[in-house]
Amino acid sequence: MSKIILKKIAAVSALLVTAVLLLYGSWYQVFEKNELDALDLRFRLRGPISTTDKVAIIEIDNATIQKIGTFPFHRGYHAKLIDALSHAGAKAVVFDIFFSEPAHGDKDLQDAMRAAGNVYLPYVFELDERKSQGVTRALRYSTQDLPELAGIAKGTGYINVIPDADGKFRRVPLHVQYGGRHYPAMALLVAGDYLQKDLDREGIPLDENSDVIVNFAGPWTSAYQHYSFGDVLGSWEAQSVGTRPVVDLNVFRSKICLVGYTADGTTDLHPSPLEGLYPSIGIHADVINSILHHKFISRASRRINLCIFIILGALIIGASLKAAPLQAFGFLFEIAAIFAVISVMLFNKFGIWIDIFYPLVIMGLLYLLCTLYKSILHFKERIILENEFSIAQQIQESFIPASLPEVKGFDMAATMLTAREVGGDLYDVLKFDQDQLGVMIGDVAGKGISASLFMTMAVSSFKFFAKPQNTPSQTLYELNEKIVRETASNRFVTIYYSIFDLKRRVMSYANGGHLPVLYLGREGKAIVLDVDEGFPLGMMKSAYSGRQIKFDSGDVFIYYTDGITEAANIKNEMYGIERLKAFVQMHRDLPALDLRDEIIKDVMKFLGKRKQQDDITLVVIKVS
Amino acid sequence: MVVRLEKINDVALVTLEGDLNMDNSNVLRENFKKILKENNKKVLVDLEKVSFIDSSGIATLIEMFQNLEKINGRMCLSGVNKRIIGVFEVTRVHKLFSMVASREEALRSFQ
Repeated sequence: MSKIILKKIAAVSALLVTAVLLLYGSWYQVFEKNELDALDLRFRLRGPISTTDKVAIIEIDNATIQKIGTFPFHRGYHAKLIDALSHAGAKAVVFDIFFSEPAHGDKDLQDAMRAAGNVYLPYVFELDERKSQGVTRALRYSTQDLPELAGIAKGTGYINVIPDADGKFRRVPLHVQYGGRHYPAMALLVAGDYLQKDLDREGIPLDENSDVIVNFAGPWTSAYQHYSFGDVLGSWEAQSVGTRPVVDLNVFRSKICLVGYTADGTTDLHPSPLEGLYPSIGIHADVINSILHHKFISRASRRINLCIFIILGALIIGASLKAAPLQAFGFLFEIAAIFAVISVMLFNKFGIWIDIFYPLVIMGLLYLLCTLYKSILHFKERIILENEFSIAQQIQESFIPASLPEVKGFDMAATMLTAREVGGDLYDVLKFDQDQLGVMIGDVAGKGISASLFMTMAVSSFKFFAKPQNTPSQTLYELNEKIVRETASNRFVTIYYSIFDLKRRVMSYANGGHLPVLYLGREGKAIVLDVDEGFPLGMMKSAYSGRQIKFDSGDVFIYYTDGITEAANIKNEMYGIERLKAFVQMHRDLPALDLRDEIIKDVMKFLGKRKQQDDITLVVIKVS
Repeated sequence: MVVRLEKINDVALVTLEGDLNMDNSNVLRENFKKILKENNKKVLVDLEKVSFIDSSGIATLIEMFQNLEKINGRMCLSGVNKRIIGVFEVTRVHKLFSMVASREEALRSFQ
């Protein structure tokens, strides 16, 4: 008893530990890298989104380097760009370029910045990686612009982006705390000034680290309007001398102009969900685009992910335990597909990012575990069932004579080979007295435990009704009446019953739907001994007609069941009554025991590689 | 084994394919139950594509035969092959069943 309790405790604890581990896995995002891959897949499936026309990107690209020379170039060029954009009516000029050391042209740059009054300069914080309660803290400045430039900028914002576990850049901290003050990200600062709103109150969805998840608008070259730094300067000069400019500078009117370095060799390119190399200026553009269009990516909280995971897990466990493995697999597939489609739709329509990888993997795992559990349980049940079968077999065997009675003047042998654990064949040999011998053989319809129970009832009832003073037909009639009265109509047993009277040397017989006994007289051929009337017992009320035959020394009687005549080989040919007749005729001189064994051997030889399909019962009676 | 149920006029036609034995006679039994539930009194069982019937199969047919008798119904078997007739003869149930060669003939006999 205590062992069973201990086992139960162990099983329950194992289940609890597994459940806790699975929930822990969901909560602590153990498959975060795969989850990020699944997010990237959703970015790719979604495709490009509409971008604001309020952002223009001015690239210091390869063409610019060719025109102007190696970077960093004289700051007078930046001053000229500011002049050009300011003249064109740009709303803001945002540099993703540092002016951290004094250089030639600083004076021009200062003048231009002061005149334009809408220039933003970047800096970078060295962030404290130990985040607490979702606040991003800076340890110190990592890169800063010259104070004389920063002082006249309209604003300065940090341009830190945060790499994820897989090294890709998808997040930007919206605020950084440093020295007791909050500093806004460049994109937030610029977008806030543009909209003239306090964006802290605008409900920008943040992840649990207070980072904004970048809503990548599309491939770098196709999202936003791009202009070459060199072309803008060239157009500004062309405009001042009255020639036709490459770029109509009016396009910059009221725009946020992001200026960044994208030429070959820049370190400002990072892997993104859509591309291996994506300029950081694109990330700022994407954040500004998100704010202006109010299209953000918001990650579902751990709690929501946990809830989804628990619901899906419960569905799969329920289905896997209840349905057949294949059916449950179909269900798993359907649920997984529906879940995947819903999560893609949520992402496409509302920018909602729910964990998908972990639930899918664990759903599969839960299905496997449940199926394994079920097959172990089935295995145990089968062992129990097999035990029951062997007990039933033993009981059934006890209804079959363990040995045949010794009767002077008869040489007898019998055998029964069951095809399944419990068979439906029966036979009995009753020695009523020195001169009277009753021989019965039968076959119960169906197999298995129920057939064997029916068979035991039939045999014990037969023993009750079989009396030497009753003819076989009387006995079968009474037996049938009882079985019809007491059992369902779909149960029946075929019985052939005969009584040998040694004094009169007469065998009387009756047949309730069984295969007729084969008889070989001393001289003649094998014939079957059948009667006119008699349904199988238990089927319906029936009359049973009887007959008699005189026997003599050397006569052979073969009682058999359809396990012999209907034994089929691989070609589906049946052994058949004719083959049995011929075989017995040929071996009729063998003693009963040897004849029995030879017949069985011949049937087995006929079966060949095919398994025995039905019970085989054979009783051989030879008159000595 | 395959069991197909059809209704031709007022005759419930049961077409069987494959061996009818103890492993599948329950399937046939369930189909028979359905037929009885729908108050069909004329049942034709087409055995043309059945090569063999064991004792469980016979039991199922007998059970249906008896259930139909109780409601004054009738069962007819068509296309029964020699091998099956042999089994029927041993058990003498050939005396109970009305058997005809073809399905068409059976449908006519019901009219």
